[in-house]
Amino acid sequence: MSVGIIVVALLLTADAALGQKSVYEEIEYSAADAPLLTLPLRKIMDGEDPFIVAYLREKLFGIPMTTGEDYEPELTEESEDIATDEEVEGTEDAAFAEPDVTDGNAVTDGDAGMAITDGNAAVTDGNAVSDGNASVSDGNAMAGVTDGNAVTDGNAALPVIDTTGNIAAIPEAVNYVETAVPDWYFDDALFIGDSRTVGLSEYCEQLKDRATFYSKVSLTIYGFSKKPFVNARAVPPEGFEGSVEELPMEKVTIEQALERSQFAKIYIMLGLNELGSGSAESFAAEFGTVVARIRELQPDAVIYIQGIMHVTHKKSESDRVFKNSTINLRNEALSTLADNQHVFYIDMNSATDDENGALGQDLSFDNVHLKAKSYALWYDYLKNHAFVPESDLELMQMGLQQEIEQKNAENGGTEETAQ
Amino acid sequence: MLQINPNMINFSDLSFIFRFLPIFLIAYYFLPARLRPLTLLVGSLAFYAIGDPMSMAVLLIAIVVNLLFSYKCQKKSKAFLFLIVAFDAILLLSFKFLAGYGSINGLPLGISFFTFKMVSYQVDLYKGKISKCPGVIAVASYFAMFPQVISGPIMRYSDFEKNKTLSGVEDEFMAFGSKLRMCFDKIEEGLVYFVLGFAMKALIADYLAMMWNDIGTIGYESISTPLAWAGVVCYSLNLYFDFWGYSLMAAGIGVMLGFPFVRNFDQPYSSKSVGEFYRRWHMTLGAWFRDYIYFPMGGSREGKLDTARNLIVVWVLTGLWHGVTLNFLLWAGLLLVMILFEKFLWSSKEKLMAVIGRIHVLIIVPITWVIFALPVTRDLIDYLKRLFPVYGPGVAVNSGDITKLMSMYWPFFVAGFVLLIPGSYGFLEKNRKNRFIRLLTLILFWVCAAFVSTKAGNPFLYFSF
Repeated sequence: MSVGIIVVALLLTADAALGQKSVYEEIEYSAADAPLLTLPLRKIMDGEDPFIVAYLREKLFGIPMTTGEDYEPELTEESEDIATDEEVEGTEDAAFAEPDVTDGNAVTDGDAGMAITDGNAAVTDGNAVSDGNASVSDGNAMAGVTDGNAVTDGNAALPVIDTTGNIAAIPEAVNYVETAVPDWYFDDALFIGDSRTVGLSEYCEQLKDRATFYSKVSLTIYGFSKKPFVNARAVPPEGFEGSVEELPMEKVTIEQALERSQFAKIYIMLGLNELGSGSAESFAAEFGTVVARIRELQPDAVIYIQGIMHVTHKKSESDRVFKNSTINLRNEALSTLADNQHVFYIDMNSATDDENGALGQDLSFDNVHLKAKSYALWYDYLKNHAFVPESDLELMQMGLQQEIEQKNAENGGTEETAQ
Repeated sequence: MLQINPNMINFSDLSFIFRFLPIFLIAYYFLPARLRPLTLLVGSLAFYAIGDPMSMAVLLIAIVVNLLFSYKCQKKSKAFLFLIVAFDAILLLSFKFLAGYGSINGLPLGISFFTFKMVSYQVDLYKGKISKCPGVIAVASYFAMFPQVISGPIMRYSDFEKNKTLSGVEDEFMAFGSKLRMCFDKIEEGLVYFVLGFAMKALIADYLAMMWNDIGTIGYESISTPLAWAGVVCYSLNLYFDFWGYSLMAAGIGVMLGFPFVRNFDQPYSSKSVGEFYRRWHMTLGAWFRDYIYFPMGGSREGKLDTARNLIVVWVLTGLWHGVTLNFLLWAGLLLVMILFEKFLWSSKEKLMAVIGRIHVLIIVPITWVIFALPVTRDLIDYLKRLFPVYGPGVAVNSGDITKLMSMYWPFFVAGFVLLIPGSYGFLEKNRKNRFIRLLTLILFWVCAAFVSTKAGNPFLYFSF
């Protein structure tokens, strides 16, 4: 048995040593790191081939090796990688060359993808897109294009949730104001995020049955168009006449899901899992690309970019990657993506921070996530920091008033029964 | 400067398995045989220095002081025996209190175990159980030996002495070939235990620990009652396989070095009473309390009242040894009550005892582990309130939490339950020399290594939120 261990260990170590710079990264040997043989073992556990197998396959069968950094699996999965990779490395313009036009309802012109330039989010064109599927025309004051919001696309067959109807009635720029909103504001809201948003979906009583969640543990902004995890109805085949319920469910990416159903508000909080890679600029560039794509698919939606929630002081002090200083840098970069017309930046950290500007220690068990009962703080922040068109203010006030009355009535009721 | 990963002292860490252990074994077996005690001492001190360099001084002072006193203890000086036992006890207790009340960050590595070894050594010397005066290096290496320094097992010096490889007696006159054969055999024998322990730790305990952590992340006040009960099972299994796995790995390394196998767990959950449970759980600790506290006080020979008093002393000390916070006393107190009832009340009715004993072991003991696990009183109260939801529903409870967590972690529960069947581990142990079993262990080893590699020293494990 010891012979077996030694032989395999030597094989794996040799594999790691030979495979560096191709399958693995270049290795600087250090006693502080894990032994070399963990590299091929990790490859195997990821369902990939260690160097020797990959090498033999290449030589014998001519299948090229996949190379690159196995710590960013999102970036190494498909052939698009190279393009995406460059973006990540930070050449800003590369971000706009995203060859994202791969799906069924493709937008045919490249311009739409370029709508946002490096974060200032100046939407520049009201491009009349030629194909029937997604005619996007941006209503934007700066471009002087009137009437952006008349959406007349093929997606109309799908249920378009509509409380933003009033917006369409207003010409020119809509003036958005920050206000508190009643709970039903979130009826047609979508939340995109990582494990923290998963927690919100499970432990926020008001949102649980109200809003839609496209959230997944370990999701990153790079997973937007690459990780199929959202349950959605299949696209009806041509000439399909049955009801929507008859369509089978399938797993699709967020991007694909957004092609199929519309939302009025889209909240995004991503970036925690990206802290270990790239820079604030490269991260914000990718984020900007995603926001632009969402704008394209959901022209009527108000998009909320949420700043990344902090980690606790303890975590921030002791961790190499999860530092609040890094989070703050990234949040700053994210905040520049807002145009305050369609895209808003909000930062819920003020609701959960302690005196160190870190996530309050008593709010979290693992120093990263909120405890179940602490999600209420996050929700309260969202409820009090919504952006609505000025014309809707009254509606929101009324809603809030009703809510308060209802609550009073309920409390009164329970008191009575208690007595 | 050479940087070494402090995780290297963790037996299930790959840098221990593939760096420290092989280098040490080569040094141990290929340097001249008479140097083996010295090799063990130097290796162990290096091991300790990697794990907890700040506490090195504590270990060294304890070793030197105990060595000095040992000459007097051997000469049967009761006063000196008393002094040194008091020294060791105060050393341990003062650190326990400092750490328990937050004055220092954690205990010096392994202090609970090496001080207990020291006390047992002095008492055994005094009683004449250790025949001739052992060499200084040998004793120091007994106190510091790396396979046991962190969490035991608490081996007696009489077992340490049995190691003919360490003293070089065994292979003194062997030819090189048969010498090689001998060390190869020992390593093989030890490896089987090591791999079984490795598997319990890496494939079961570590994953159950993740689930326990997930429960904490939700917050104890917000878990559903079914999840609270699943958590009881989860933590009990986690603790069992973590500690049993560690003990097997430690004993396995001991066997590789020529020591006899030290049994620390013997299927405790198949016990018929709590009393029996604690004769089969962490056996070297229980035996220590029996031999150095309970028996010297008179054990159970002096009548019911004295027996009860002795049991109370033993269990209060057991509680303190685990930690000085309130929950450990509560934990020990609950066990004490069950043991007293078993001994003096239930035992008179055989059939009743059979039922109550099983209820104790299979239901109440797991609950005591939750008390053991939660040193913060607030947490404990929150947890118990969810376990027994008589004070109304919790805060922001999601009743789907149990389904979510169990759908992720059920295989580890199944594996744990299979190993709870006494026959399953017994079969492996009995047939450990079988070629087929050896092959299986080899495969198991690499499976564990592969699983651990996904976690170990991976700076990019961060993609998991």
